[in-house]
Amino acid sequence: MGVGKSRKRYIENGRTRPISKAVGVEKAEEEFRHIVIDDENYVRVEVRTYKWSHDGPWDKVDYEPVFWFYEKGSNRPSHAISFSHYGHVYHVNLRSWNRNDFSARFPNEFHTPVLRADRIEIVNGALSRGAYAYAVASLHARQQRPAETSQVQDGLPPNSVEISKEVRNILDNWEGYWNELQER
Amino acid sequence: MSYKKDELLNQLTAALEQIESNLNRVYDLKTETLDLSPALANTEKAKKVASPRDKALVEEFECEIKKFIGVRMTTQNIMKVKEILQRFGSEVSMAKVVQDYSDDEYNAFLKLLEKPETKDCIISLQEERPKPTSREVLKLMLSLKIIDDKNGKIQLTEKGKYLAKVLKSP
Repeated sequence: MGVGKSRKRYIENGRTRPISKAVGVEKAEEEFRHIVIDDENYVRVEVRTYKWSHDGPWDKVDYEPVFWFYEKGSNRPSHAISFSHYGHVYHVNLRSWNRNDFSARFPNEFHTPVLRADRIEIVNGALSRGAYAYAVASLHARQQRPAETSQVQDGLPPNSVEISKEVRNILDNWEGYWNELQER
Repeated sequence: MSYKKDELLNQLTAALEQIESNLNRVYDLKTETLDLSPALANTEKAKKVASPRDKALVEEFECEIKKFIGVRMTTQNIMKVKEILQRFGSEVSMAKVVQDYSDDEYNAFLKLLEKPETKDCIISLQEERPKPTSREVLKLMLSLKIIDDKNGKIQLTEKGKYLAKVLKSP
């Protein structure tokens, strides 16, 4: 995995088209898509940020980014990192990347990326671990119905949003995160 | 994790019990509004020992429950509070189940939750009417300390009881 020499290309694909995705039974208002390509190693990182409006603790729109990591030559993500309300969740060796795996945690409010992976690691939280396990249990107890939804927009969510700082941090250091995921 | 998990979960359990007992007073027509100050005192203490992300989850719960301060508890409001308690209570109960699991055990536990027979097995054990369950699942539950085997009789451990509570109403 080369670091430093690789030329990173930021592609903003500018498409605005309806996408099909299931996030519990809720609809995301928008999906921001930001793709980073390492030309030399051909590793792709795709950040998809789902925007929800709710009146939760931050009393503002909520952005939930999921980082999808693609191995060389593959069009299926192998790992993912999500945040939402659980801290960093590392989804290692994804078994499924179907959006049906998303679980609505609080109907109309909070949403939880619960992706099927061989291994999950939650950084920083005892309660978060319980909340994630509850989301998994709920997901398997509930029939998830796909929802047709939202617009794809290019770029990242506004910088004023708290979560953006974490997105930026991972984007700036994505190669480190990629290596870390490979080792887990 | 370096912070005090036990204290965090105990404070949250205490907060949930406070609200539950207040709801019972409403049921008994002793009061028309909820007195949330004792519960909020517990959540304040919980936040002091929580990690930043856990703190966000506690704040989220506080935000939900604070909407009922000084509000007359109609049947509809009671239902809303019960729903919040059920959701957050389930998360706290799950945290009690997994708090001492290693990362490997936690992952095995998540896989156990995906198995369709897990829920039936645990609820049937709680109701003391055990259903036939595969050896693989029983073995996994034994290793995760969800059940134990006392004189040939399989029963739920404390962890198992917390899990049964959650799985009954996910």
